[in-house]
Amino acid sequence: MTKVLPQGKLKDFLKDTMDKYSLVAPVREDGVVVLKPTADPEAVVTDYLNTVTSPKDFFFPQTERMFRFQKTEGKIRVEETTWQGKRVIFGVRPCDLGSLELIDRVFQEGEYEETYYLARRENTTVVGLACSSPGPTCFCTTFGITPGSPEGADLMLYPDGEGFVVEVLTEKGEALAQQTETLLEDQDVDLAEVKGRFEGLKVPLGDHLSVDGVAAKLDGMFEHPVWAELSPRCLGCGICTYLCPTCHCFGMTDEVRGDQGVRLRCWDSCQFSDFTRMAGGHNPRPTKKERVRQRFMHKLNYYVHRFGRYLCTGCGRCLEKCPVGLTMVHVIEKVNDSGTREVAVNE
Amino acid sequence: MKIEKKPSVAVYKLSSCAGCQLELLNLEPYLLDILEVLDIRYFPMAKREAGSGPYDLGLVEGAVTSGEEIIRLKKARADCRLLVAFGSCACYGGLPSMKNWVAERLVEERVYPNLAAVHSIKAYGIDEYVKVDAYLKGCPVSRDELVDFIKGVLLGTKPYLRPHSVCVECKLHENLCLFVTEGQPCMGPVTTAGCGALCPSHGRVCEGCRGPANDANPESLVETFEEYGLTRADITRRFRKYAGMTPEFERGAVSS
Repeated sequence: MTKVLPQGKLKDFLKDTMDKYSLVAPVREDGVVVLKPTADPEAVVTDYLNTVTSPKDFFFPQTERMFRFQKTEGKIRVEETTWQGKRVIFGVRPCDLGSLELIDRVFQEGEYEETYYLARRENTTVVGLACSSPGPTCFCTTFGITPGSPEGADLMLYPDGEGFVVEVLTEKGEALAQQTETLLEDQDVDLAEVKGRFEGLKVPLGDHLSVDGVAAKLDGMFEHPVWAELSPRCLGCGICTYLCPTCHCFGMTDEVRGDQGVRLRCWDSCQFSDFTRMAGGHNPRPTKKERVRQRFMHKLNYYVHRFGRYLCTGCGRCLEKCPVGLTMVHVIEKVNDSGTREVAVNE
Repeated sequence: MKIEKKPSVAVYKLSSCAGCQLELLNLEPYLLDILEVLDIRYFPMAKREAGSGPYDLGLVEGAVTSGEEIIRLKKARADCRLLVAFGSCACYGGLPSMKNWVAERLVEERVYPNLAAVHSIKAYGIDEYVKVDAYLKGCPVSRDELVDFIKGVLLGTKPYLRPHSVCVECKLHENLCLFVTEGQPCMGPVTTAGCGALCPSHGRVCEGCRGPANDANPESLVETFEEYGLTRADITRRFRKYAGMTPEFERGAVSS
């Protein structure tokens, strides 16, 4: 027996969810679908390829206050920002689920734990939504993700006929399933068969784009002419890094007024020229060539060396939004096509 | 804040619409605080009495478009410890610099019936003639940036004047990208931030009033504008509207 959420019960599912959790879900706004906090189940949609912005915003916000500080009588009092409440993010696509797992490693593994991010992760239950019809910009399969991959979700929904087949993956997912149990019907459905159908869906771009050996090839391509060929068209607008579900660079600033202030953390982008500018004015990445190289080397080489995975999930946002078409697909193709002569020289 | 000796300020006007000076007066929520800490000695637009120099801080509004203005500008430079190019006209010519690609005689004829007393020259930013200590860009200047700058002067710290493009602030506001999503010819990717992405936040494309950002790529933007169907003349006009006298925007104006 497998749990199924009938299509007609979706609104009730969201309503019951809101009894215990705050809800973030895809809503249509200004003609596009965005993930937003919402209290209106009627506004939630499921007929979208993907949301414009990725779910990373809700774990690692564009701007967040880390703490307040105040100086009184020679002492400094610090008031930390703490996370409160439980939240559900509904309708996250497999590529974006995968991206959460990739950012987790950055903020979790190693000597330091990033408590602001982890507090949000711990208190958020992620409901994934499998893709029935991958779009022309989708290439998740390039990175081993499929339209049915649940990795990164606490509870996964597979659209099937008149409802959603439910797969519970974690304790948080189990808690949500219990919260909404009156709406979930036990039906004679073979979960493995349903999953298999999604995993086998064609992803035209991804199925033809191979990243095999790209990381190893890039080891010898730091000085390759490909970067000078690719970079002149970059406008430096930074939209790739803002919409990318795996980009996670940030800067911190103190805003001080008198003897009190706040420390803020804001997203930053390696595509901005002042990203690496140092106090004395020196900039180790002085031109677009170095900056474009940095972004793609990080995703296709440096991260692979550190964590064993590519830092891209093929969501296709850069394909859709880069105004000059300088995208992950383009770079991978360029690297695949580039001659090995230069590689040999560098080795 | 208690100031022992208030820094003295002079506000000058060259060829301009006075809109930037007006922004100084529009700082209403802070104006009384500012008068507590600054001694505004010379400000003909707002004040009848004119105190003589030298001044600690000089704000120069407007482009230089006549020989007489060069003389006044050099006097201002001599009188002021810090001299600020106040607004886009003073920074790099601004709107008046639009005329720089038309013969001076034709421009004069279009505006004045009697040319005997008119001796206009090409419009330049003030750093063509004098050393400038700071540039407050914008048409008009950003009030937030202006307040930050005044604080910096008082504290002796360097104010944060955003070097990057308007795109950054647009994204901070989570605006829908007019350039990418709507295919509109937005100058944001090459224009200096600091305005809070004012125009795009109200659904209008950036006009480039703040001049080139620190790492502008006008050639690439021109290619995209052409894909969007803009004519060569349209593109040139966009780049020469405010800051055609800067090398970066001139590259966009002539790139093909």
